[in-house]
Amino acid sequence: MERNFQNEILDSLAEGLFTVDKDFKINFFNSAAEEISGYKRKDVIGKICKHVFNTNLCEADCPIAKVLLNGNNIYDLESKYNCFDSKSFPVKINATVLKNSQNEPIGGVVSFRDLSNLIDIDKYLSTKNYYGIVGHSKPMTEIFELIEEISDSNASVLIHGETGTGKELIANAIQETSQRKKQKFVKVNCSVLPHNLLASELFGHVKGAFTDAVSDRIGRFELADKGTIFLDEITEMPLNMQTQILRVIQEGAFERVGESVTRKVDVRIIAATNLKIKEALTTGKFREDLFFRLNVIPIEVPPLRERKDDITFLIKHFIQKFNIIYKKNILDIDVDALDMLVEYNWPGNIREFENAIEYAFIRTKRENSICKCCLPPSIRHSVKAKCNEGMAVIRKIDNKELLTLLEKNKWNKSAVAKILGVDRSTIWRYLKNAEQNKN
Amino acid sequence: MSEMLGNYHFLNRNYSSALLELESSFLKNPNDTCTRKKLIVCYTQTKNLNKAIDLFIALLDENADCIINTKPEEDGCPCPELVSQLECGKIDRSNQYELFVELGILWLYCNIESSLRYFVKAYQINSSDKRLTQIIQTLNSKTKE
Repeated sequence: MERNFQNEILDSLAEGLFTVDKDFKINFFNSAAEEISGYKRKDVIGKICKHVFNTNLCEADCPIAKVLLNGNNIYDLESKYNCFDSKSFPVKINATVLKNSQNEPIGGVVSFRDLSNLIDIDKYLSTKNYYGIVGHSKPMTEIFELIEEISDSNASVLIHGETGTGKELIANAIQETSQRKKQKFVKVNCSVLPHNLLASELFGHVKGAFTDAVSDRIGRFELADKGTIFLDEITEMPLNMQTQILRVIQEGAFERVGESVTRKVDVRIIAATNLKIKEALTTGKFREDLFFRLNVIPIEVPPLRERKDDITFLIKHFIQKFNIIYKKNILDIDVDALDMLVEYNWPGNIREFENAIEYAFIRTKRENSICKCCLPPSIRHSVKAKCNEGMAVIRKIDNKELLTLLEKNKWNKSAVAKILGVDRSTIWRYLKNAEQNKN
Repeated sequence: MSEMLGNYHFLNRNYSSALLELESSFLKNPNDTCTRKKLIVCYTQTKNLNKAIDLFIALLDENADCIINTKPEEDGCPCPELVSQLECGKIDRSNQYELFVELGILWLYCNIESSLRYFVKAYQINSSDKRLTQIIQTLNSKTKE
């Protein structure tokens, strides 16, 4: 009776949930799990979970095994499960282990949320973009053309760009257009992992290789075999590790930590860095031979301040995105606010831009537009100071002089702005003020 | 150390790691047939054939059906793939007697007749191993049931 009561509670959850026994056989499967996955409870009970879901996590990184190994529950782990009809669906997984009164593991609980809807939103947004990248400016379209041109190649790519410019999105686009798009795509952020664990993470280890190596574990390169690996922040990698990466590129060979057996893999490498690579080479922080091996196809992602033509498209993109997330119906942004967004220097690039739009979205009380007062104070103050500077320059010339200049340049505000050494928006603002004064 | 972690490694054919976990679990619960069944396979794949034979005989005496009635696919048992790899030479064993004993053990998880056939072959090479006589007798009586 009590068991049925518990099952009813679990069945009422919107999250998919299943439990396994100590043999990893499914012994409970709630209604949401049936609905999300398409599997019927009666068909999966008694089956080993990895035979049902068959995810890329099952062998190398089973969430329950991870909990068993390190004792910490898993939260919001992104993965893919396979549906009844063999289609895969994206999920976020939580996992924990069940123990008996002697504190011995006797089973596990996995709950998962279907992310398909969110992915659909992303897909919708990306239909007008290039694999999710918003960019219509010249430097961006040149990058997209290059990505298409290299789609048949397996050559290494080195993506360089300031923080927040979207290097990972570029890597995704390279993977999506490549011949390896159906193979595994493994991402590693080299700056996040402690130096002493990086070798084990990349190349795997054998049991007993170091204190916590309680079992054999495959590394990211083996996991990515026949596919692609994305090494983000590669210049953060210690020099000794760079030598090993060089060997993988040259020979496709490496050894697991603590093992002398040489293993072979076929992995395409996409690397990224936000460091000025020449400085890293000069200071000896990055090996020159590795740089030349990686830099077969260099891609320089421009900072947002150098592709301001994209700002209006970015605004539209993020407005659509946040309308869905915050269930609002914002249609546009005020001219003054747009002006500020164009004027600002964006040191944090697209990431900072997205945050600014989200901030404005949350703050705005209007129903269908965003005004400049809702923008983050850091942007408002910075632009205000800059605007005053620009206006000071322009006030030195009178209306007549400015009109002459504009007529001479066929009302090309950008050309006039260049002559006066101010931003295009400053000219626009001056004209607007002049018109208001006249009225 | 946990049996469940051992089961995970076993399902992933990581026999040396599984052995470590399952041996410690076996020490705590020496009568657990599930653990013993898996341990036997782990011993065969980690060059511990004698340990595998001893444990196999003990379990055979006690409850032969628990091995004979294995449902390899349902239980995630690796024996079908192991026997196939051993028979085609993908897993290399230099000593033919040991190969036949190993195949005899592993075949019992899949098919009792094939298992018996390999133990007889092993016996023909080394008839002095009394353990083989014992195994063959048990399996013979089982096939007649």
